[in-house]
Amino acid sequence: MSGQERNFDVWLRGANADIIESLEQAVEASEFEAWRTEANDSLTESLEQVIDTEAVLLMIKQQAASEAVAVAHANGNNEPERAIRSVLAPETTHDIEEARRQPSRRAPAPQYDVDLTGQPCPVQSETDSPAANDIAVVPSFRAGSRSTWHRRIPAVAASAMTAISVAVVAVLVVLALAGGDQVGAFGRAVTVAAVVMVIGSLAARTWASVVEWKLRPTLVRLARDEHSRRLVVTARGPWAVQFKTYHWLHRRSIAPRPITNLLLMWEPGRPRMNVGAVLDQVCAEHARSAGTDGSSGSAEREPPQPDDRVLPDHDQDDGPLLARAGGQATKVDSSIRKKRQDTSFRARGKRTQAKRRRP
Amino acid sequence: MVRDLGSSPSADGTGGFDRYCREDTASLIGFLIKLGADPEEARDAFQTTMIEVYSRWDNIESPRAYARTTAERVFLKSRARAADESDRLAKGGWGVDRTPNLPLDMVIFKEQAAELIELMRQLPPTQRRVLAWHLDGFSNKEIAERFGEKPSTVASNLRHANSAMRKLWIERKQRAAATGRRAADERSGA
Repeated sequence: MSGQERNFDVWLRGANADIIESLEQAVEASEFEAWRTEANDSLTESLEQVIDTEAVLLMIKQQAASEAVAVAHANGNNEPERAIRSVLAPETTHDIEEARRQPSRRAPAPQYDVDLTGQPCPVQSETDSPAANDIAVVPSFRAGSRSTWHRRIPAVAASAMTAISVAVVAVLVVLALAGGDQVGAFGRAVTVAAVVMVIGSLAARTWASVVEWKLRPTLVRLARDEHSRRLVVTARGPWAVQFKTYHWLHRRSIAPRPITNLLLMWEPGRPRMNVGAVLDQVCAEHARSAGTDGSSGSAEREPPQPDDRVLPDHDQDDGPLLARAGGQATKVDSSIRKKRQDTSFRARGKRTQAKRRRP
Repeated sequence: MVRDLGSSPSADGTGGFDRYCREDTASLIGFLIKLGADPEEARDAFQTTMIEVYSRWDNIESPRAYARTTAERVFLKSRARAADESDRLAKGGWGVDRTPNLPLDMVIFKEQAAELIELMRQLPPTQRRVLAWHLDGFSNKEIAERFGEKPSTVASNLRHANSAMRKLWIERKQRAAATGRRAADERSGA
């Protein structure tokens, strides 16, 4: 065999080996492709077996709604239902208002209850479908879903009182101007009383507005607490300050129970607690827990709520809140103040933690 | 405009989201797992992603691609956060509360699926990412559009990913065959 033939033979063997290798690789490649596709399908199938898509869907919608509520509240809107609707879809607001005007067209409001942790949970019936529940995205408590006319009583009464007083004063002033002797001592007394009523009424309204205006930023921040947010921001009227004060105290470990527990005691129709009563209760409980009345009391304290550990605190703004809320600051003794300072020191650490945890 | 959550899904078009969610849930979680997430991370990223998809449903043209891009971003962010979690735990003592919403802890993958996950985790991140998108049915062009890269770059990455993975797969197969032969020899010897 000549050298040329030998070279050709070597090349031929090499080429043949390449062809075989290429064919083997092609077979392996197709086999690999098939395996890969099958493995991918198998992965999806394994997941499909354990995932309840309906439950996932419902959960996503509820979480989305909850986040929307938080956004609305963070913007300082204290009327969650209207706020959510305005944030999410202004074009539907018109329909909602129209439905309110025509009760026959109104869809039945979803019933919500409060569970033991204070979280709203839908009142389920056997015919409830997930789709029906996921519409009820704006959490409204059973108490809140009833008529709210009673909440407007103080405002209406104040307005009526002001109007009557103004009318009386006006009549008496006219009478006095017309013929001073006809008014007499009784008329003067009535005039003075009416003037006092008008001034008192206006002062009360101004005070309430100022308090609300001053407290609003603080309360909005307080409302970020995941557990108590809905309770605090949905509180209105004369009870709002009480809830907010109590919540504020709880955040500083002065009030042992979270506001969610407090709310369980609160139902429409029951006599309302006033700020003084709340603070008395708080001070008494604090004294008990501090052991000043002879009992240890610390065993009664509930463990700190998980949300308290991570949420930012706002001590610098909240200082005068107690005094503004009800003028009961003198009832908070020095031990509580000391405790408050300690808490605020600890809260600084909490703030740092919360900032780091934030994405 | 974010859609009103309180109106009827059939009337306002969120029915589309419902359908999408039903169809793509498992696939999207699988995508995250293929990217390297563990089931818990995948669950968290999936929830965040779907909430975002739901709130922007009307503005999303291709939900599958959008969801994957978002999920990827959320997952990578959470990974970055988790990187210094141990440091934070040591400093503050605060744990991360995770509520088990999806029963992914109960997932037992079939052999092939587990093998795929394991092999994919051995790939470099870029190749893994391209392959994960490819396995979810996206073309090179679509992937390139999403990544902001040239289709040729994507194709190259995919080719490298395929070849690396095939190599691993063959090695694995050969190892398994050798193990089988050894076991057969031992049986026959006994």
